[in-house]
Amino acid sequence: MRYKLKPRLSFFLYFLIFIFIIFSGNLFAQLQANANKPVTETLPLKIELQADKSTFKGGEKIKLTGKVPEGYRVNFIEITSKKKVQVSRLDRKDFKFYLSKEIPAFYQIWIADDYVAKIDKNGTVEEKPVKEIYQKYKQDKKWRIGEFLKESNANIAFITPVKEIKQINVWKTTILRAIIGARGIKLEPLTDKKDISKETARLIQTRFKGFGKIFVLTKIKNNPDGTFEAEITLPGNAPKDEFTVLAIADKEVKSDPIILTHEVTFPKVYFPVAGTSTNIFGPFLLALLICTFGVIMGAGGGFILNPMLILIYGLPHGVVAGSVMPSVLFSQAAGIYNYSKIGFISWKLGIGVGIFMLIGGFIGPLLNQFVTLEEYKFVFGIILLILAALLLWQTTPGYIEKSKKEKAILQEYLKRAKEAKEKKEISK
Amino acid sequence: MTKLKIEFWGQEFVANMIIGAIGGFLIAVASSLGGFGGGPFVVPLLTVIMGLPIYVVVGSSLLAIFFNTLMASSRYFFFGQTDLLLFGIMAIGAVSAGFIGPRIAKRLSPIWVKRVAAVGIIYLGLKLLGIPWIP
Repeated sequence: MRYKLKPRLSFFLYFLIFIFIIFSGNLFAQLQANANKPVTETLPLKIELQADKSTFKGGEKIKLTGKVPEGYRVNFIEITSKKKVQVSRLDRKDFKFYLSKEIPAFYQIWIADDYVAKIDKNGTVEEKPVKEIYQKYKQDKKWRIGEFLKESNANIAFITPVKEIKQINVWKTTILRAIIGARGIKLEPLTDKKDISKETARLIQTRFKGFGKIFVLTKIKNNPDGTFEAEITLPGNAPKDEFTVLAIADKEVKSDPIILTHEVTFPKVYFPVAGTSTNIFGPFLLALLICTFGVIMGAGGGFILNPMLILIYGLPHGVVAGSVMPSVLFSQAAGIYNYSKIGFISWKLGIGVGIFMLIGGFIGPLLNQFVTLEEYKFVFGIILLILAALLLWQTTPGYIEKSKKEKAILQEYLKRAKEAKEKKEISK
Repeated sequence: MTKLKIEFWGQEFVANMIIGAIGGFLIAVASSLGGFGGGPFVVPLLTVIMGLPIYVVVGSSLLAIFFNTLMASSRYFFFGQTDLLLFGIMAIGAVSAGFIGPRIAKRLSPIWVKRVAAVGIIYLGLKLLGIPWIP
């Protein structure tokens, strides 16, 4: 019996030591926490911020409440998605090409509509209601995000994207280099905080374009007892998963970020490169309808599909071109295979012209990155008008007469080609 | 050098490669910039401008365009601009359209289809150009 007790005893001892270690660890942590306490008290004033829900659906109202330190009021609410997208921009002034893969797929600053921006201009403080500034910028088609952030004081709320961005790549380009199909000479990535902040704002403008899409005027109810209430809604096409929300009073006084999760359920899906959530059947039906129509008229679907995707869903033109273009590879390859089986391809002609089209295909996608949405729309619009003219010309009596004859010859040749092939197979 | 001799089913044709090269290049730049196939432009280039008969052109133009599509697609892919989900949906739509299209086409007058398409394309083009009175 005694022998059996011994291991139990030693086990008990070990257990005691184990408990002691854990306890002492706790004790140590508590000591540390105590040591930290005085420091937290000297930390800047904080806004308390809560939301009435942690997950939401597109279009759903989210109520934000909280408490502000005495003498302050909430002026801005910043909403940043954790999902990131790639955005690039060519600066026309110095021909520098900027690219970042860490631009939030969704970003908004909500501004209290009764906020008065105080701008210190060389010592004299100017006061201007933000409503006025907002209206001015909303009507200006050539608005610049940097100017608005400064004028409205909203730059104090422009926090999260700058914090989360690690790198912005820069290339120095020239027209000649672009023609060769190169982005240019790669420069050192931006490192200066101020430069990164400025360029991040510009890339955000490049992505969202519309002034009203980034900045929203709203009512933020600041009660006399220091509590506040606000309501925000995010659109249904916002990216899925987590969003960071911040309430900001001024440069030093803000809340800790809270996390809201956007629930995206099938049939709505999130397109990771485009950075938008959409009902999956929408683009599918659009593609099916337009491509069917394209097959009937013999012009392919991309002509109509691309502008529709841009106009209806607001997708970036680079992503539209980059995703629609490869989708015709299969049908083209199948077509080439079928024609080649009956010997209906002149390889000499196809490759001869094809090599130059290969070079063109090398340059086009780069130009796509260099043009703005407006320029893309302009070029595309003109191409469509030329195409329409071509199509109308093909319905004129003279052309129909000519093509009828040609089609008859084509059918004849196709028939002969097929027969020749069959004969070959039989003789084999 | 600039004249390319093509043999096709026992017949011989001469293609002016200067026009073919410049035209093909420009069409390829425009179509890969926009992200569409260049078919409706390449076929008139080879037939109307270069004077080749349609039966030589149908297959060969497809081959030429394929070079452009392949190069542009890979460029877009490596630029990180291809959304694979969107691509998948578009590809399924395009391939299904390839089966449905020809069945419907038999019942329709191609001339009227082209006219309707032209009206739609003009509308879309003007909208893209930002003409103010277009709804």
